[in-house]
Amino acid sequence: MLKKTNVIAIGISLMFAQLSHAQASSLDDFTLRLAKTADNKDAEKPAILGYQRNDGGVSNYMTEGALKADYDFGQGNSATFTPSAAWNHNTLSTTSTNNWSYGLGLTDRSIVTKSGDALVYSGSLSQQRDMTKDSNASIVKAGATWYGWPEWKKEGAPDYAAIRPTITLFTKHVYSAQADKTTGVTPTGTMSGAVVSLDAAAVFGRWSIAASAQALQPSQVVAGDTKYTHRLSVASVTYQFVDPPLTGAQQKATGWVPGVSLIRQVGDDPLNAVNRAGYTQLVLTIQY
Amino acid sequence: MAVKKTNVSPKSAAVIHLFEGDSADDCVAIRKDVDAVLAGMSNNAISATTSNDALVSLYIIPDKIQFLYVLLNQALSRYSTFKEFQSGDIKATATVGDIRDAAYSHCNVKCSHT
Repeated sequence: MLKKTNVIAIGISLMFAQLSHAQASSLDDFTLRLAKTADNKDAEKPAILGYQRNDGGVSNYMTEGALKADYDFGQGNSATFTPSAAWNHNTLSTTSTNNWSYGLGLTDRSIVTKSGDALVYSGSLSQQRDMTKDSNASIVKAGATWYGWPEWKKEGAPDYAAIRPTITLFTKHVYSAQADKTTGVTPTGTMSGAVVSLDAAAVFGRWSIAASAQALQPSQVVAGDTKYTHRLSVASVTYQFVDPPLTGAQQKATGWVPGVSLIRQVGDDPLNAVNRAGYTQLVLTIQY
Repeated sequence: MAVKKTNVSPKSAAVIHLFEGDSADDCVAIRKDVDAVLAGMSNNAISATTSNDALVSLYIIPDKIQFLYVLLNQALSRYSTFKEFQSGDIKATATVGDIRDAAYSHCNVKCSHT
């Protein structure tokens, strides 16, 4: 059965959803939410669910998301402790990705200017299960994201553009894995290095563009692997079929907003167990 | 409500507020502090006269709205009854009025008009 490189999928984007917000005094600082990714760069990205059934009757799907809990502390509640569980399953792409992880994260927001320019420090300890390689790993990460220039905002309109750079240092210890069928090498050991990424977003009326590019440079690799720069790029263009709301009243009157997104992903990310692949998706989205 | 210190300027009277009741002065002071934070975050695009129904995302880049609560905690900490905001309290879909109302609520002050 041939697997198509380019697929058309119909999916639903589940916008950031507040699952619960406890009011009890001992739990006032606690929130539980559904988000796309386990990191804190953009907690309001939607979780994704996509499905494809090809002519041969084979079903493939993709789903990516995270379940998080937040506990705020520190001066001005600027720090957040975040236990989380995340998953990424994608059999639509040329090479499947199927992993889940759980861990503890810590974020501290350092507001630099009154206009909200901020340096956000984040660190995490997590356990990762890569189903495609039948491997388990422990991961330690520490990084920082800059929320400031370059950015542009049109006053009185939803239009804006911004780029957020992030640098992350990591070490990933793979402690169990299946031996490679051709080389016989068991890919266990420690991979460490640095990741530099740029996340860009822009909104112009009904149109929105999002792009992410990252380069992972390992300084140490697991047995059987070679050192080279791993690159992962994701870009999407979305068109919503209704104008964005300009007032609270319009927003409340707006129900589910249909749209269409074209998404392209190329590359790999061994830190997050995203296998090398490229795919393009045309996705129908519903936001609410 | 006890205020640890005050720097409310007589110029605040230049903006018409229609607060009523015993807490009217506190409401004016809180409103002024909140509007100052919103003005700073929006490069002065939000002012004291900005409508409560205006979406904050029309003036502040959505992914920076997540930092508003830290600045509000700093600005409102001088009020003795203030209870700090949490990181998830202010959504990117909030209106200017939502934030003003939340500030009164977190200061435990009832304001008759926002």
